[in-house]
Amino acid sequence: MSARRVVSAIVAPYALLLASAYLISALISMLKWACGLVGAKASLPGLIPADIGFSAFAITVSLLLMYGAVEVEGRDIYLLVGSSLAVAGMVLQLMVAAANAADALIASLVGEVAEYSAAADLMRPDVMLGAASLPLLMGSLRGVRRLVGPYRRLT
Amino acid sequence: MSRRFRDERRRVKVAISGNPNVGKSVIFNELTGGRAWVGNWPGVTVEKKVGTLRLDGLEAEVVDLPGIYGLTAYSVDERIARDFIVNERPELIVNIASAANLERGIYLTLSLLELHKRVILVVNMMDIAEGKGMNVDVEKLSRILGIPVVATVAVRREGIPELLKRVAEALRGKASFRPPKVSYGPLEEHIARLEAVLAEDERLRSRYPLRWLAVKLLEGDADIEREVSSSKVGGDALALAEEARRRIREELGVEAEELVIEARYGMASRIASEVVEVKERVTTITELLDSVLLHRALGVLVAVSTLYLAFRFSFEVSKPLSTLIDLAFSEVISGAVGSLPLPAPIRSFLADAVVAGVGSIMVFLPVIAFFYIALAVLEDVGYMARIAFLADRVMTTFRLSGHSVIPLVVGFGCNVPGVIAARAIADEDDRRATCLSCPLVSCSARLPVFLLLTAALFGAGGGTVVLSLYVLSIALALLTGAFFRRVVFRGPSTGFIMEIPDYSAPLAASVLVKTWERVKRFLFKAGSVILAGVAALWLASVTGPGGYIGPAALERPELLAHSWVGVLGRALEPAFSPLGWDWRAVTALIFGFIAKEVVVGSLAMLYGVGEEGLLGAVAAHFTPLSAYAYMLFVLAYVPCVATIAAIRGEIGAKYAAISVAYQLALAYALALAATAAGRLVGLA
Repeated sequence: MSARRVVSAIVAPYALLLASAYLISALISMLKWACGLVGAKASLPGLIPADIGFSAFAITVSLLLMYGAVEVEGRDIYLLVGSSLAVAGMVLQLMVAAANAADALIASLVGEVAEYSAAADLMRPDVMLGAASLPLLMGSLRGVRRLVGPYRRLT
Repeated sequence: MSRRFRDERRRVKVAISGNPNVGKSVIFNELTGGRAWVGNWPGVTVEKKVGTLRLDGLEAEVVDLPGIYGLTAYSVDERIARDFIVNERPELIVNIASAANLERGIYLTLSLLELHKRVILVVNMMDIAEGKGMNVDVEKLSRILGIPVVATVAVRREGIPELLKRVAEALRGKASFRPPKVSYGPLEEHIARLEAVLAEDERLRSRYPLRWLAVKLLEGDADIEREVSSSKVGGDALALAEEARRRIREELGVEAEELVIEARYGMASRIASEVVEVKERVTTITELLDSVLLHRALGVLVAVSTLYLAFRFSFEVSKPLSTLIDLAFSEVISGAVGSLPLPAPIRSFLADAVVAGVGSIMVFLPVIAFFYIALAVLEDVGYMARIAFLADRVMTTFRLSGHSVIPLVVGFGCNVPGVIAARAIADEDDRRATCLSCPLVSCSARLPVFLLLTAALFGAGGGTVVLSLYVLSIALALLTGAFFRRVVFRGPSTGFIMEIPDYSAPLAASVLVKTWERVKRFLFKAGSVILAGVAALWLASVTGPGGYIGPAALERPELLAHSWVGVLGRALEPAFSPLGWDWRAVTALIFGFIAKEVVVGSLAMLYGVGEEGLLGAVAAHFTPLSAYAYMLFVLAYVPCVATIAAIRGEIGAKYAAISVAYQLALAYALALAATAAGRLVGLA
């Protein structure tokens, strides 16, 4: 079995696994958001935000990774876009976490009661799954570089 | 150096021209050191950038012309470029073309050379051409075109020293310009006859190259026909041109204009094929990415996700800066002003009008700056063009263009950057319709009002009520766009022709320069209007028909009732009583003119309760039906003063006034219709 086939045999199931995790997060987030709309209470994981925007984001990443897992020809480009989006989401959430911490610090300095939980920001699925997408990003970057020839300014 | 000589030098102008997305801004920044004055071209809201080039003792004003494809009269941008070249007579035109799309670039070069000989052609993005397996022979291109040609990769500064050297040579008169003539084949005899007639007019002869003028007359260019008709040879020249067009139509079966374009494209194509060698067909990163990012379904999802991330970046990451600014104004500056040894009215004016007014602008600033950073990155990467392309199908249903989607989406955060983002729409009618529909998108400032009223009157169903308002706001914005485009701005749609640029990595310097220019513009344009609005409202609150009441009116509702604001609220009460609102609810709406979220604080002040008692007070003064009507009114009524300032800045004071009147009428109609419908089905 060639090295490329071995990589492919690992990448596809891993991408599918991540895609499933994003999809589950998206569905839970949507459910929580819908519960909030009608005022219903449901016992759902607290670290997943009740945010329809996050749902759309997670579904997009999930679909891209699924395409990447099942497509053979365009695998690398689907995985590249999907994992780039996932990593961008992670980086953004880390920036939001830093901003929330700074905001709480400012509030506490002026004597206001500031509630801030770093865990709530850092344990969100966009951080955890974004970090898990990094190997896919690296791998797909290498794959795309092989395809595009000498022009590699972006990659 | 004598003063006179320095002054003469200052008048030297260099124009930068090129197709959109060929790196004009980067080269403009290289020539001017990134320092630019940004304004509008006279009479239109197309951005004009002017900077200064200082080079080996030379000094010139560098003007960035709008991105164009030719010099026709059909597009505002092309008319601007043409008028600038004719009226301002720049010493030199630096024409930028993409090496990856040289044929189209040469078409513009040939068009420019017909009007102005002193052109330096910059073949930019050589790296992208190489990546596509193309090799451009710039020396041969220079020989064919008879002008200096420089190859660059501007984002990496490659070729920039050579460009500066060529510009200096040209400004010192040491460069040679011997451009070829485009051969118009069967049109040549008509061109010669027209040239002979036109040459009899001294003014035309000194102002235009006569061959160019003759070609434009054969094309039937309306602007040029007007110009020539006012000359002493106008009648003869126009009659001759008309006769020539008729003969060409009859003898050759085509319009003269088509022959002109064909001849120019034919020459551009021949030149490009002579100087561009395609070594091998290579798959590019742009092609690969577009297979996903322009995918019918996945592409839309990626666009939505990207905008979601940009949104969070703007609103959440900027939060501590907004908090700091808010604290600085509400605690430090306001406190300092409050302790100044000044008479109470002046102190109140400074604290409640000036500081509050400036503070209300500054608190927005981090969100707006962060949004502009995100926008500049997406523009420089080349992704904004793709988002517009994907959205075009939906937007054309409402007679808007794909470009309109960005302002409308951005409007959900804040209408001000939404309106300003409409600047990227080239079509004047589309831009105006988008600016007028954007304030109907429910911005984040309206949310506190919705949350207060739904929490007080709708309990668990509050979320659904808020969702209905958001859905309604999208419908209203799109229908408003369609209304204005069909009824008021009925100009023909220019269609959705846009450049889809290659992807490229954003440059930090370019992103920061763009962001700074836009923020500066917002501050100066919006700041003055906001300050004036807040000051006027303060004055109307501390004075009344009985004379001066004093700043206490801002804290005591019984005093405010006697102010002009209170009197106005009471005077308007009969008009709003069918909707079930008392004078206090109406007065709070007047305060909402400053910013929509101010309605909440105003209601608390007017009902004489603190934050903790506000829910109860609202529940006691509204019914669910009157509260829903109130929220509909807040959703649609006049844009806040900052948005009005932005509309004025983008499309003029007349349209800002139209926006206010239209939204007031729409809001009242919506609230009245909701109340009537509610009563019809038995709601109290």
